[in-house]
Amino acid sequence: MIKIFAKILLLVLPSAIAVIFTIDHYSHGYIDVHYGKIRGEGKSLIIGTSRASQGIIPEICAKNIKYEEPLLNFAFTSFNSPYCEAYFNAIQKKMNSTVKNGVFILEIDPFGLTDNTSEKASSKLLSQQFIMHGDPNYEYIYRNVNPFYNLLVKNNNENPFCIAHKNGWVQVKIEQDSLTAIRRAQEKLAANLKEISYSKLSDNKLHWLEKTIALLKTHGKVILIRIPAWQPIIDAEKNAFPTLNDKINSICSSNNVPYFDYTNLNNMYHYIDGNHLTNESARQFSKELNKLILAL
Amino acid sequence: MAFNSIHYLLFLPTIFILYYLLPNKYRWKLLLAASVCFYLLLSVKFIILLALAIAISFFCAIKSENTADSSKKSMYLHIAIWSSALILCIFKYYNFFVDSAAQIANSMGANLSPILLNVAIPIGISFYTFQIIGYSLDVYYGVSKAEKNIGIFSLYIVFFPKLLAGPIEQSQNLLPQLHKTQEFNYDRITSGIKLIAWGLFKKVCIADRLTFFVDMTFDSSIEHTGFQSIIGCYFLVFMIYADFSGYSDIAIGSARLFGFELVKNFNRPFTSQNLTAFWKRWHISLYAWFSEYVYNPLAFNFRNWKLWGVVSAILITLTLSGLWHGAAWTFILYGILHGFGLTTEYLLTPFRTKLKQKLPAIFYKYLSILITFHFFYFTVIVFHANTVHDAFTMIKSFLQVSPTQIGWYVFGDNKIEFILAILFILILLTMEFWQSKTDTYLSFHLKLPIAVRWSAYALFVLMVVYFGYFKTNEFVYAQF
Amino acid sequence: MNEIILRLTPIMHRIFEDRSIIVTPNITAKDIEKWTSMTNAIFIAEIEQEFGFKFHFRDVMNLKNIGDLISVIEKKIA
Repeated sequence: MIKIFAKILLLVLPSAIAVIFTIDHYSHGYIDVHYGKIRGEGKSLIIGTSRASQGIIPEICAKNIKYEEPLLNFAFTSFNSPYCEAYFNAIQKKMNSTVKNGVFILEIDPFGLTDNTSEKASSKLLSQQFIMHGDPNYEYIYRNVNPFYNLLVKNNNENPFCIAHKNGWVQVKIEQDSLTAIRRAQEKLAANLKEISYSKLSDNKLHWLEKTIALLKTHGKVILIRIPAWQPIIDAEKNAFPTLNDKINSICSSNNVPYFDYTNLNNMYHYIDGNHLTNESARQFSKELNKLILAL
Repeated sequence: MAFNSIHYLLFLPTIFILYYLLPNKYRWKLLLAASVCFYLLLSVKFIILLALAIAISFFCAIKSENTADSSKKSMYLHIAIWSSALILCIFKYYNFFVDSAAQIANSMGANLSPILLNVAIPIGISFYTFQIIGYSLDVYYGVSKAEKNIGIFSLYIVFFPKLLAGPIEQSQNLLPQLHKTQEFNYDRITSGIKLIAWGLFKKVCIADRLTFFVDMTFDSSIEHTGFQSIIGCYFLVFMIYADFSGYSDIAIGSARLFGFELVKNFNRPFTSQNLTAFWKRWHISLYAWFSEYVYNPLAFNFRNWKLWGVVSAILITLTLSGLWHGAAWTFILYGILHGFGLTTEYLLTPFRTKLKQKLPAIFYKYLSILITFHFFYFTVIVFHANTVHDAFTMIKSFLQVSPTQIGWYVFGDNKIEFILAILFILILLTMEFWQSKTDTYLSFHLKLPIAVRWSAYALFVLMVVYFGYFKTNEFVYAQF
Repeated sequence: MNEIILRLTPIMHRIFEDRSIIVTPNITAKDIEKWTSMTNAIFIAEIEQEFGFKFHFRDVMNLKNIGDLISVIEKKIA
């Protein structure tokens, strides 16, 4: 039996070496939109869905703060990182156990807290990922660059639509002028309304939100925020989920963490598609968050 | 867990190590426990159903064998068969039949709202139900002895390599093997590992690669040229073949690690010169089952109708075999088409014999292969389409081919993937051709010098690692 | 047995379209090109007509060669 395993190891070894060599030399370009978050180090974290992923710039947010740095944007999408067991486990793996004075910004929106038809498919990216550190992250690259030879062929290519920064911020590069933005916002509103029609608030996800809060409180300061979006979209969400803010307030008061709802400032910002802040508005909003953190 | 997942890659060696560390008398128990865990990891709620089906068939077989009263024998047989068949029909076919009946009635003026069930199909049900029915019939007709050990019988039904998608094992093959002591045999085990590797290559390098092109071809929201549709459908044939035969190879290879030889499920089906031969080379275990337990009894009962009795038996058998694949008109039509194909082929035997005598042998051979392949090609379009209408739309689009469409790169920017797909299909066909020249599956390479062999193995592993798709796509036949 | 073989021979020549078949107890379907699952059912019906009895399915399902078939026929006509 040992002979068999030894032979298998001998056969697999050249491939393993080749894969490691390939990743070491060819993984410096764009891998995918999430890779920066997986390989990045963060003693403080931004958690949530794509609104946070695109809307909060860590460097601006963390300027002169008294909390441990670096601040990493560890928010993904409502598909990959709703509040759930997989996201909780990923955060747990990401956290450095020595951190005691970090700051953790948890973004709240309905799409991170509702049950929908893609429930089972969601968070597969995170649930399948064992190792949440490492630059390069061999596991992530091998798992997600599929088939693997694409790493050689598409080496150092940029994504024409976004930049995946090392700090985890996803900077979208598509046209952000007002006309295309309005058209996209209307399309997004229609899509959101459709999604909302078969969604309901998930007790399970609210439970995992609380567990995430409890976990991160042991590492420092936790705050909950709701990021602004286009008014009609926010109105649709508030109509569909009228109890959301009350539930969040209740969770916050029982866990003694503050909640800041910025949706009353929607008109101060601009949106790529009604859902996500433009780059300029992300800078502006991140400055507001910085002021908030400095005042904590 | 899927055979092409990291979980199976960890599960299999673990069970393998434990198996050979344990004394012989505990080995089958380990396999049974592993198989139950394997099933539970996929579906906790349906294990009760599986256990019930096993228990009923086990006890009925023993009772049937122990009684001399032919009416009691028959009663136990019916209990065993109909209990399993009923479970299968309820979970798999109830909604389809009720809904179809309602649609027909409504089209004639009725106003029915059928009550449909909201249940998932238990995993592996089509496969284990057929095994149970086959076993019950074998005991009834005295072909096999009833198994007295419920643990061994359970293992025969749930043995994890074949649990999800076959091969459908007849009792005479696997049950006796489960009683024998399996010694550690280096050659047999390495042969099993190679078969697993080969199956994995077919799945991750061919089937999952072709899925992209097939999905593009069948995506009605994308515009296609007629030529693209034709090529996409060729890819469909090879996708299904690579997926299912790859799965079967992994199943057979896995079983071989433990000393068990499962029945071969594919035998170079695209070299068939007629449909009769094709159905002895494609999904062999399923068609052997239908032949043994459906066609033979039907043909026997219709024998007084002579030729038309045979034709009726063929049509019914193939239609049912189509229906086995799923509760949809496309599957039924697939079966019907093959039924008509087989009967037409049979009726045209005198004509074919004359043609064979007139044409050069090699020309006749390859013409026959091409015709048989293309008949299968068109039926697979029906098999894969969402609806019968979609299938005919696809086939009609072939008529829109124009010379300007023909070229190397029919799928836009995906040139490298397109070339790789063709290359890997050629590798598959070449290896199968090479293998056909020897008796034992995949043993032809053992005659090569060791340095060449090992270099080839290492390159093979490199090829799978670099070119394989490892984002888990489910095996096609697991859905049945 | 010889008498049964004598009566089986023309049936087999006709059904399997081969007048060169020499019927012996050892021959099986594999030895005769046109003895397939399709022609087998017709063959069974012709035997029943020739010898004047009806088979049960159980009689024919496990037959391995002509010798087995002859044994069943002998029992039926006895």
